Amino acid sequence: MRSKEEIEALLLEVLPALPAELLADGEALREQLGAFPSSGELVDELASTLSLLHEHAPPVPELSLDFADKVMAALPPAPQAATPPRGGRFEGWVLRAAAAAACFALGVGYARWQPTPDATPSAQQQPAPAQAPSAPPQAPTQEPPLRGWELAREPQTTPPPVTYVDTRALGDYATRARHVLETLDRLGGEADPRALHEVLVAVEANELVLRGEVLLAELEVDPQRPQELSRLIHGTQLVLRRVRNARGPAASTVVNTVRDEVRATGLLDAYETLLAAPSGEQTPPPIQSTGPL
Amino acid sequence: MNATPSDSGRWRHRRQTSADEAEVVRRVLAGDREAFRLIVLRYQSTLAGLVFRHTGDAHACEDLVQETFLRAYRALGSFDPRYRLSTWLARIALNAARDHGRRRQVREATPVAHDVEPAAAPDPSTPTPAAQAATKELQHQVGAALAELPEPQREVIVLGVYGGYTQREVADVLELPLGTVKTRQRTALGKLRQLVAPQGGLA
Repeated sequence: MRSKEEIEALLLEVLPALPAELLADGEALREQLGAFPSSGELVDELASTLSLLHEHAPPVPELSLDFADKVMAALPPAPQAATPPRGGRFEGWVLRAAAAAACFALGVGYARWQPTPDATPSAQQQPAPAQAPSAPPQAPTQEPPLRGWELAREPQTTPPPVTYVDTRALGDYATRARHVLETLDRLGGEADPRALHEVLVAVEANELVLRGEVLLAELEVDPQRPQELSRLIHGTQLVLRRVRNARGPAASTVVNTVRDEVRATGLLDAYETLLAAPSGEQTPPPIQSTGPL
Repeated sequence: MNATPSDSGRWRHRRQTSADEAEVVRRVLAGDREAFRLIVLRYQSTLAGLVFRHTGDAHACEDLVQETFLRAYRALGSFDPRYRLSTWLARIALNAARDHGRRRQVREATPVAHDVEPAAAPDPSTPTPAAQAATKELQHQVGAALAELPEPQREVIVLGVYGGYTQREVADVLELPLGTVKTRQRTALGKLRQLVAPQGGLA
């Protein structure tokens, strides 16, 4: 004899696959489950509930007759080119994105902080003639040493510009996503309803998931898009969705798990690197854009 | 058992459409824009049902279905043909419905209430105004009961009961373990039974 839970699970597996007319009278169900006399009452309850749901559901509004025409007229010029499915698990490509960002950060750091003999602040400053006319000249015939990004770009000619579809939207998304990740990172091990609420509001009020989807769609058709950026946003979308869908008693557990994954994969660090603003002329950005990035 | 997976026409149809759909998707990606109309015509009613049952918003239903198709068209290149197109479209539709629900909640800070306005359309098969009113009242009760369900439970009911998806397909759409779907469906049906039965809905 099967337990009540097993019978109910079996019913729920079978019921949706049956035509509606069979659900109405329950005859097929009774025949199928006739071997379980004790389940008769349960069958009746479930069948009547499902029958009611089917028969008295609010009618679905009719779409307009020219609905298909409207959709066809609103379609963009062409769908994105076929791309191989995004393989791998969440950790896999977020790790790759984080690794790429870390390599980039290391490169920037090395270029900035490479020691030189006269790397002191006083040696770097060239005094203005009007302010210190009697100051001794400091190696006038010697070119100041190249620093930071000047070293990195010295052998290059003009780097090819990379232009995103909408850099403003990208910068906005990245800033807000970093805020969510930072808030997530601050969460303690215990359930904190207010902090969870703050994260949820930040995700929902800014429609971050929707923005991310739009960005991903735009990046897909950008021939010059950096793959790491798509992966980074895709990973962020997964985090945002899981946080957004975390409800009920298990919300804190889910969010804590996501937070630990974010910490382990260095997603926040990747955004810190992405959003690191170039300072001055010595540090031109690796990606030329017209937006807030 | 009269209907089995092997002889059910509905199940056979599901298996047959897979190859057709893969061909349609291939044509669209190859530049045959009109082929997408086949997808729209095939799934517009199903998606309208999903979106309406999820949001209860009759006025936004058409817009959300259109948004679903536009999102699907833009992302068609990322569709994995190993999965069903119907499952993929349902996932996009649910995401659109969720986004709509949250936008509305943020704006209005009010709980989702099923809009049963379309039920006002007269049903020619209903003989009397009294019976019509009773039917409308029952529809309102069912709609209100659905709206009272938590969103995760409502989604498994919308997909499993109204969408006709199997539990495994529901799990695919929602990206959940099969056991979670079963638990939610069982819990949701229990709640619906409690919500509707006291109001005279169940005989």
